[in-house]
Amino acid sequence: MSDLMTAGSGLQQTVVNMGPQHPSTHGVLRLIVTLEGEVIADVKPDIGYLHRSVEKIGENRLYQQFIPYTDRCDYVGGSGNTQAYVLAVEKLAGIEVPERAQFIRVMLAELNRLTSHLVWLSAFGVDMGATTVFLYGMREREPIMDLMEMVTGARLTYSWFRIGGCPLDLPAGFDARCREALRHLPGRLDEMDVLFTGNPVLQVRCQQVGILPPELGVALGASGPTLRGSGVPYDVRRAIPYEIYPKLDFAVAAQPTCDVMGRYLVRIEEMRQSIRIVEQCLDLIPPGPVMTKLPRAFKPPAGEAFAQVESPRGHFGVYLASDGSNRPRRVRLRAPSFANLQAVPYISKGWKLADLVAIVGSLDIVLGEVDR
Amino acid sequence: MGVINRAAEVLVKVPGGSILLAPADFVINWARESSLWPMQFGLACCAIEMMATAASRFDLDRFGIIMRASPRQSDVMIVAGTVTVKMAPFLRRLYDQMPEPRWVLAMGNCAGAGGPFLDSYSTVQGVDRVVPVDVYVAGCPPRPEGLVDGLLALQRKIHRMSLAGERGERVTVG
Amino acid sequence: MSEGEQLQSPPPPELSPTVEELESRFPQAVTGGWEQDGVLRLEVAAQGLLDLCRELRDAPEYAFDFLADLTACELDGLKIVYLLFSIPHSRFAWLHLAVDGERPAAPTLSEIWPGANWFEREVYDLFGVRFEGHPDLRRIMLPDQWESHPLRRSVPLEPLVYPPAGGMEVGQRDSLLPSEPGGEP
Repeated sequence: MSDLMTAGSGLQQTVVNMGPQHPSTHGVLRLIVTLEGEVIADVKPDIGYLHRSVEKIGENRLYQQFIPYTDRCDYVGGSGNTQAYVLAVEKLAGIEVPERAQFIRVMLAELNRLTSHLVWLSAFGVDMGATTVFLYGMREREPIMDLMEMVTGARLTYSWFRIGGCPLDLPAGFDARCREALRHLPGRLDEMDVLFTGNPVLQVRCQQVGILPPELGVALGASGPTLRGSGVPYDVRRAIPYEIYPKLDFAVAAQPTCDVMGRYLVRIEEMRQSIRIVEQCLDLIPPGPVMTKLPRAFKPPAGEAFAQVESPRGHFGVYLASDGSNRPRRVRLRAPSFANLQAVPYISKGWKLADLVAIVGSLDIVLGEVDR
Repeated sequence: MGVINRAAEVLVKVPGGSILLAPADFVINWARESSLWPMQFGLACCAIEMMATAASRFDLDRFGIIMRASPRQSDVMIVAGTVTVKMAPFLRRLYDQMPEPRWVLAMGNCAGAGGPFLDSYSTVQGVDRVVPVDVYVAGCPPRPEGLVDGLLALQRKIHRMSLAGERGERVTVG
Repeated sequence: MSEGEQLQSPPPPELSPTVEELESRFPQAVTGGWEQDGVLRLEVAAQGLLDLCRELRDAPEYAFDFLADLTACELDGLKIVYLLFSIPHSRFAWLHLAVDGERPAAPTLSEIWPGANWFEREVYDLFGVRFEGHPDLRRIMLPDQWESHPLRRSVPLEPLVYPPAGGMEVGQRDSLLPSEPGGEP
């Protein structure tokens, strides 16, 4: 940098490097921050530290073999990714999924949304310095992860949905256990609300910080709670309904304030709505098969298809191109965090370095899906 | 500690010297293993399970393990996740910044041997290509109990250390 | 369906007035397309693409304000795939731009949708497509010194050899590191 003095401010610019190993960057994100004093003049995110060439690997695997890789992109909310991928393959091949399987998939995706938002809440608390929320949030997550383990056999990267439905039916006793686990959750969320949301320190640190104007958010391709925290009620489950979401009654959480607090409140509300959705699924789920039988050598016809779901981070899209063989020609995973992260330079100018931690935390990025 | 190590090596050769060394070994190893401070090097999915292990249900604090953000203040580097070509030099640099005695625990299949991303053009097939590894914990991701098992195995390994002796062989858990 | 039965392709969709109107207004940019199930699929060319995209974004009957995806695909030649979404109307526009296989280039859409910036950088990084007019066209996923564009079909999937031949010294400045901190990364 040749110009070290900015005109008029009289302050020298310092370049500070945050990451790639940093406790608050939620993964291997490198932020190159240009500071004037303590005020941010510019932020350049540098990504690619977790680029695992998932898309190239997808071209070298069978369609079924790619399912575990989908989980590992957005590893905190893996079910959403798998759901998007299997939906895209089913669209490509024209496969009908039984209704019971759709209910199970939606239920697991919403439970995964709960665990994902609880991880976000815990990490956000640690970023803000409130480590109690970390312990409370991770504790609330454990019963839900036990439920997921009961059904899928895994705690984090489930890789459980299949092209055509689900591999197994729900185990006996799942209904009772799920209702039991969800019964306590709203009360615990209220407790965390009092502890954290009502905390004056958090309110000062989050209100009016990191304003993302709605037009800029849409133009940048931001989605999910990042965009809904700016008042744009775009939720893929309502806008482009998939699976059995049209049958479910839930509200789209949106906040008009456009700041970190708005995005925070959207996620808290989404957790409550997810509980509602899972309970409705438990009530409405019909009996029946859980899997459409597919030929053993699965070869979808040549063509292209795309599908999208509302992952905990936003609009997660999958674009598939097939040349008629048993391996995809192109698997493209459109990650919401990739687009959301682009907003960081726009919304953090003028704030302090500590606010940058709050801003990046409020976007809830997962580097696995940013870098793929 | 270099002077003490040399003194210990001399002492071992003296007849009866090991008797003096054993209590010192015991105390020093006990101090080191009971207060292992990992540098949180969460790269990918395993980092979330590492967080869960450190959290309420599987509590690592009861083993004396407190996650530190800085390499200068840590004893063990838990490499949790896939190491990519862009990250590897930084991983090496952070390992070099850790003061001795230091250990490395490779958590998960990616850090152990490349995992599902074995044939990727941008991942390193196992972190042991970059840093020497003491304990491998298998799994994708390993269960928190598995990570605890790995850390306890590391504690047992430290227990076997001697001021005058070798670091010990690599251990695989899980 | 039974085992061994080949899955059938869906039937081709019918002609659409929207596509015809766009073809007449932007004859160089729009070379074909169809409309089905709320998806407006257009085959486009680079000439006049920016005007077409501005129209798609600003005209109230289209209002494609959200760039859902921008990627490339090598199926019968290399092409750039744009997926636009209209939040007011809840419909998609799916644009395919064929580019040259040897020296792929395309106009940048980052002035129209700022979100295209990183998507185009990723396509440049992994496919080698140069986006003309892009404010900051450099690699995003791979290190800056990387030479190949790995997602091209001509590049096979081969595991990385690391550490590079000759090993790494403790404290050695690795050639894959970005340039000095304090300078431009």
